[in-house]
Amino acid sequence: MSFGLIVGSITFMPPFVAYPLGVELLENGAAYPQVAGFLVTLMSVGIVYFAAESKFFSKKAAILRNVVSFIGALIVIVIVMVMF
Amino acid sequence: MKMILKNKFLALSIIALIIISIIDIKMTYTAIDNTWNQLFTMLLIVPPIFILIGLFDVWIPRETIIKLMGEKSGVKGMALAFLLGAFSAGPTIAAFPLAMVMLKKGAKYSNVLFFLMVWSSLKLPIVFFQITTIGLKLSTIINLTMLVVFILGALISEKLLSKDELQEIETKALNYHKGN
Repeated sequence: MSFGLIVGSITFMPPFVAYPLGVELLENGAAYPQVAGFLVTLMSVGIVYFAAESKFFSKKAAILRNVVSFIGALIVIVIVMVMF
Repeated sequence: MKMILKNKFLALSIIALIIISIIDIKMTYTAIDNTWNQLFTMLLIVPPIFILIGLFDVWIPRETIIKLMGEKSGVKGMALAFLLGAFSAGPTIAAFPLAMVMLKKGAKYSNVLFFLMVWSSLKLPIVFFQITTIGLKLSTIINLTMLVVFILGALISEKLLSKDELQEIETKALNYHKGN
């Protein structure tokens, strides 16, 4: 699970590639919470953008935004775990 | 030396590229190919965004933004930030300059932050695409949860930043067009 989160946080993909990939992962036997976490962090946590973001705003602001998104991903995982 | 320090991310990537090419030259080709693709995509996206920002800067007076998204805008400002983010297209990185102009015009920080977050993951075209691929149930869970987290997160983030830090971000935004 943490693997999905970390990979999702670091990498960046256009969404039109990411979601079919998620479906493929699900079809190949990955569990729902992991895939959900991967997709959410992929979309909203952008370590790649960190340099640009901290230049535009400030380092602390960039860290805060990414942390908020990451916490959101954790909450999504918990809810998906309960629902599926 | 000064130039290297100024572009430390570029320098780091070049060093990484050299190390990779010692290990496996094929990976270097893939890396360069990817870089080229990314650069090309950026060149297609960036000019329209900058035109949009320029128009935004000239056409919309500061008072309007302060009224709509400023300190006292409350729910209305949040809703507007959500709409602006949801009806957008393009990668997250295109949102940063736009957010900068908003700050420059006096928008509240939490609203701008909310706009950025919505842009990064709740864009409407993407939500529809999401439903067709991973299913209605999963995408509803993801999007509703993220929406709640983003609203709370934007408000809390603003509280966590001190007055000085907010001031610093604002000054940065004001000097944005003067090239730092």
